Amino acid sequence: MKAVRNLATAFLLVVAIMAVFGWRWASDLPAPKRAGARTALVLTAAVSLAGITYIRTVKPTDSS
Amino acid sequence: MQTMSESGTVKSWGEKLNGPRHERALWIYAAVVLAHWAEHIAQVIQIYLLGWRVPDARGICGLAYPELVRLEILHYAYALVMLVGFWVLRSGFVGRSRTWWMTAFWIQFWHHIEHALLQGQAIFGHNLFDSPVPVSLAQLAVPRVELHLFYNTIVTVPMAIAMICHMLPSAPERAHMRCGCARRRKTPASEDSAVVLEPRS
Repeated sequence: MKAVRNLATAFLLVVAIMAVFGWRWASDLPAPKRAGARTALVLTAAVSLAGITYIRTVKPTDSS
Repeated sequence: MQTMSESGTVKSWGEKLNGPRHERALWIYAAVVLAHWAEHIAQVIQIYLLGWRVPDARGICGLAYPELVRLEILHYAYALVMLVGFWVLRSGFVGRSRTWWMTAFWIQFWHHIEHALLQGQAIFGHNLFDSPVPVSLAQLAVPRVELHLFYNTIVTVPMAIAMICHMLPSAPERAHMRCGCARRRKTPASEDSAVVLEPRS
């Protein structure tokens, strides 16, 4: 179980890091494309990090 | 197709896939998803880190077979396979995991519609909005690479959460599961000794 959580975490972390690099890369794009690309990248990073948080904390609902 | 199980009950292919074969099916499905992701991650590394031009960044397989990336049918086929996989494997999920799995399904449904639009333009040889290349609706606002990075993320995150919730079911959820995906659970008294109380269903 720990291995599955770690694999999912590592994978989503890579996605979030790529989104950060994408943000930097998008500075060279023309303004309308830059806004669109950065919006998608911010949402990608946010969803990835939210996913990591949930995956690291989820427990069986009756185990608390 | 239906076959007779050891207990004498007739099990359809779908029941077996969502029962005794659910875990294996999910591992295969996850491997396919990760292989697809490897292509997208490779592509963004080529663009964001290596500074390649977008048309030259074709992932891993696309370097050896450049025509693959240009084939809209390949992208559409993968989106369809994903959608069918979500649907076929859904009944093995119960409770929280079912909610997350179906969330991923419906997001993938929209992702598949976008790919169908691209595929339609490739078939009819006429692109929307007088674009030189096939474009989807969301591509009007977001470039294709970033858009599909986002789409794949919002499909994969609920899918991964569904799989983990499925492996860690509550007692009521466990009672309704027909597969062997649930991980064994420790009681508070056995935290240190890791004594297993429940066999995998």
